[in-house]
Amino acid sequence: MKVLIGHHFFSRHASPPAKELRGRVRGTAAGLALVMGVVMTQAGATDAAAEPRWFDPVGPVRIDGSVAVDTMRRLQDVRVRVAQVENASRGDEMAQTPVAEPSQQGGKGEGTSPTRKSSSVKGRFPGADVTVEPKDMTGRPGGMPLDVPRELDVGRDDREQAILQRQQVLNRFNPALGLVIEAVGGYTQRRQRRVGGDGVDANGMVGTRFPPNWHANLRTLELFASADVDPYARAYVVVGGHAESVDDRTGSAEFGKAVFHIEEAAIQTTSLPYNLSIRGGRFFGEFGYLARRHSHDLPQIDRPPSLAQLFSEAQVDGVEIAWLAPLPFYLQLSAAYGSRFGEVVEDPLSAFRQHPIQGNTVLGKVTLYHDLNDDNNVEVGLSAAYAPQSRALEGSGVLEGDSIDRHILALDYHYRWYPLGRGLRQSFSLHGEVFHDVGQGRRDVFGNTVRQQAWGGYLYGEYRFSKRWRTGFRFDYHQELTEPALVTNPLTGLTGSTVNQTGNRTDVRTYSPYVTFYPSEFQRFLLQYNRSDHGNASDNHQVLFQWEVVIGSHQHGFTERD
Amino acid sequence: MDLPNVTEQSPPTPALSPSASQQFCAGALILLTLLASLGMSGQPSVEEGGKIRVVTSIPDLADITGRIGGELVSVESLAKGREDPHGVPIKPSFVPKLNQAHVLVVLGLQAEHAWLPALIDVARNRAILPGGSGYIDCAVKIKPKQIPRSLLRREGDVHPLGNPHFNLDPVYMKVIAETIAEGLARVYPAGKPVFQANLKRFHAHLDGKLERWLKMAEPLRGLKFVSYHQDTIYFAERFGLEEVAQIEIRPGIEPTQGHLVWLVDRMKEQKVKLVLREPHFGEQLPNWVAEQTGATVAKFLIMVGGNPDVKTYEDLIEFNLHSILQAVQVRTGQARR
Repeated sequence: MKVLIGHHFFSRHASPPAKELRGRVRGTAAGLALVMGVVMTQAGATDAAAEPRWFDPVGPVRIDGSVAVDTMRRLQDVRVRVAQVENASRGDEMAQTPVAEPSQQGGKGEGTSPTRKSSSVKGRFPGADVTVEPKDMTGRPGGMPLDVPRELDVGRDDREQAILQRQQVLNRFNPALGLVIEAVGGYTQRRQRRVGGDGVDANGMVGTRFPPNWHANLRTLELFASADVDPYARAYVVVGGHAESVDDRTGSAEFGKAVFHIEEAAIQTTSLPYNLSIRGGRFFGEFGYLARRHSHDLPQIDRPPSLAQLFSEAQVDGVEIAWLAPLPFYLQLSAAYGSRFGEVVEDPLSAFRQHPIQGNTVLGKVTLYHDLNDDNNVEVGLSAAYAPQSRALEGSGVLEGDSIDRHILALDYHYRWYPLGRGLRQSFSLHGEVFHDVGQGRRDVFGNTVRQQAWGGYLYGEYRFSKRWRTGFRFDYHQELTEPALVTNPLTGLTGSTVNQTGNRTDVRTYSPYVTFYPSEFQRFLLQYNRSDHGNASDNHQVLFQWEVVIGSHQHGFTERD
Repeated sequence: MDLPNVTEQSPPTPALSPSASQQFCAGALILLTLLASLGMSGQPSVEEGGKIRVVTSIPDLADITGRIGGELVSVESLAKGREDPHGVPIKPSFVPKLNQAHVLVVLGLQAEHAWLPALIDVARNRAILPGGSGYIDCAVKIKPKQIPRSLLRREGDVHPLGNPHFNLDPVYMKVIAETIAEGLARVYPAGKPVFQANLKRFHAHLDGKLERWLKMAEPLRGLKFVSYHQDTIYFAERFGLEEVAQIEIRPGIEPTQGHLVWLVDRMKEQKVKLVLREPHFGEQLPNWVAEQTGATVAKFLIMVGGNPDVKTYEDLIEFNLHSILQAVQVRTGQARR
C-alpha cells in the first residue's frame, strides 16, 4: 500500500487547530499548491489499482486562501479514510519491530469510527498509539503543546521521504534570512562643554553626540541574508538601519529619520586549496576583537569608548586573504587591502566622534589559540593597520584634504573559563584589547606637522551565573585623538594647535557595570551604567537599557563566539 | 578664521597610486586563477598505510566508529560526555582537527546545529561539508520521533527534523553503526571487508546485550517519569518507560514559576514518582520538583562519558538502567518502611 504518498505529509501539516491553520494556510497556499503538483505527479506514477486514490475527493485545487482552508478540511476527511485503510495493512509492520513495544498494544481493533472532533486519538487514528494521552490536550499554561502527539511520529515511507526532500530542495535555493531589532533607551547626563578645547568644534557642542537626557531609540534594524553561490563561494549581506536620534550631529531636522546602510556585502570562497580563503566586497575585516562585531552583537550596549573614537567597526571595502596554518593548534594569519577602514555611518548612541581611515589601508592579523585544559583556554590576536595616506581627522588642527599617515596596532587577549559540564549555567570570561594609534597629524604654530600618538584600551570580565543571567564589568581608558586646542602664532598669524594647556593629553576613563538577561537565546535585555571621567571636565553619568531580538535564520558564527 | 592652505605646502604623494592598486588587483586575480587551476580540492586524502582521521561530534559516535574502523582509524570526539550536546562551546582548537579530518561523523537531526556549522564554515575542508564524501550523518536511516508540527520559535529550540537523541536506543545504535561502516567504506573502499566484519561483530554483541537490558528493564515497564530536557523518548520507548513532561518549559528554554506549578500538579495527578536529571543541568530544580511530588531523582546520562566510569556505549545504557532501577528500589524501600 505505497500509494498514500501525501498522507503523512498532510496530516503533519493539517493537524494544528483550524484557527491557527487559517492564518498559516493563506501564507502557504502557493507553496502547498506547488507541493501538491509534485505529489500529484508522483501519485500518477504509482500503482493505479490501489484504493482509495487519496486526491479523488478533493476536487480541483485553486490557489486561494479560503478555498485552501476548505481543501484542508476535506483533506482531513480523506486522511481519516486513508488511516483506516492503512490500519488494515499495518499489523504486520508492527510485528517486524525487533523489540515488543508495549505502548502499541492498546490501540488495535478499537475505535474505528472516525469522528473528526473527538479528542480521542483512537477515534481519529485507528491503530495509533493510544496508551499515552497526547500532551497538548491538557490544560497547560501557555497553551502551546509541549510535545507532539505520538500519532504524528509514525515513520515515513520512502516516497514520503522523497517528497519532503523535494519540498526542502525548493526552499534551499533561497538565502537564509534573519532580522535583528534592537531598541535602546536610557538617561544621559549632559556633558559639560570644555571651553577652548577640541579644535574646530570649539564653538560647537564638544563631542556631545549624546542624545538628550531621556531618550529611546531604534538603534538597529538589521537584515541578514546568506547563501552558497556555487561549490566555490558563499555570499552574505548585512543591511543595517537605525532611526536618527534627536541630538545627532546631522541636526534635529534628521530627527526620527530612518537611515539605511550596507554594513556588509561580501563573497567568500569555500574551497580553495592550501587552507586559504578569500573574501571580497565590504566586510568586517580581521582586526582586533570587538571591532569585528556588529553593534547589536556587542557584549555591552555601547562600543568601548577607546574603540569608538578610533574606527568603531573594522569595516573594509576591499579583499582579504586568510590562511589557517596546518598545525595541531589554531593559528590563523590574515591580510587585507581596502580603500578605507572603519565605520562611516555614525552610531546614534556613540558619544565619540569616530576617526575611520579614509584612504588605502593594509591590514593584517595573527590569531593564536590555546586550550589550557578542557575548561580553560586563552587566545591572543595581534592586528596592525597601515594607511600611508588618510584624510586628516576632523578637529585635529590639520585642514581637511590634507593627508597624514596612520598606523594602528591592536593587541587582543582573552581568557575563558567554561566548565564543560555546567558551562551553560556558570562560566567566566575575560577579554581585553590595547590600541596604539600613531601618526595623527597635528600642525604646530610654525606650520610643521607633528607626529602624535594615542593609547587606548579596554578590559571586561563577564560572569554567567545562570542560564539566563550574566553580569559584567568593563573598564576603558583612552587618550583623546582630537583634543588639541587651536592657537594662533601672534607673530606670523599662522594657526596651529598645541597638545593642550598643560601639555598632557586628555585621557578618559569609563567604568561600566552591566547585567544581561536572556529569556532565550533569541532575546536579550541589558542594563548598563557608564561613568566617564573626562580629563579636565566633570564626570558624566549614563544609564542605558537595551532590548534586542533576532527573528528568522540565526546561526552562531565563528566570529561571534563568546 | 582663515587657515593657511597647507595642501599646497605638502602636496599628497599617495603611496598606493591608482596604478599601484590596479597592479594589486591584477595580482590578486592572477593568484585566484592560479589557485583555481590547482584544483578546488581543499581536502585531505588518506595516505597509503596511514590511518583514517575521524572526528565525531559526540563521544558515543567516537566509541562506535572506533569499533567499526578498528586499526584503520584514529578517532576523536569534539564534545565531551559531560557537556550539553546542543551547547558545546565553539573552540578554535576544533578548527585544525576538522581541517585535517578525513571523516566527520555527526549525530544529525540538527543535534549540533548551535555549534558545528560555524566550525565547519571556517575549517576549509570540503570533504567534511554536508554532502561531502567524508560527512557521515548518522540520522539518515533513522525514523525520527517527536517531529514538531509547527516550526515556530515560540516552541523553543525546536529540532525541525525530530528529536535527535536517538543514540540512547540500542537498536538505533545498530543502525548508526551500519551508517558509519558504509561511510567509512565510501572514504576508504579498501577497508570495506574489515568494516563489514566489525559491524557484524558489533551487531551480534549488541543483540546479546540488548536481551539482557530488556530483562533488566522489565520491572520498569509503564513507569512514568519527568526529565529535564526532551531527550529521553528513544530510551523510554525502547525500555517501556513513559515520558510525561519536562522541567524545561520548551526545549532549551528554562522553566518559569507557572510551568513548575503546572508540572508539579501534573505529576501529582499522574502519580509520577521519578525525575530524571541529565548531569549537565543543575540539581536544584529536579530536586525541588522531586521534593514537591515525593518523587526520586535519578541521574540519566545522554552521552558516553557523562560519568567518569562510563567509557563505552554499553556502560552508558547500563548506567541509566541501574540508576533508574536504583531510584525505584529506594522508593519502594521507603514505601515499605
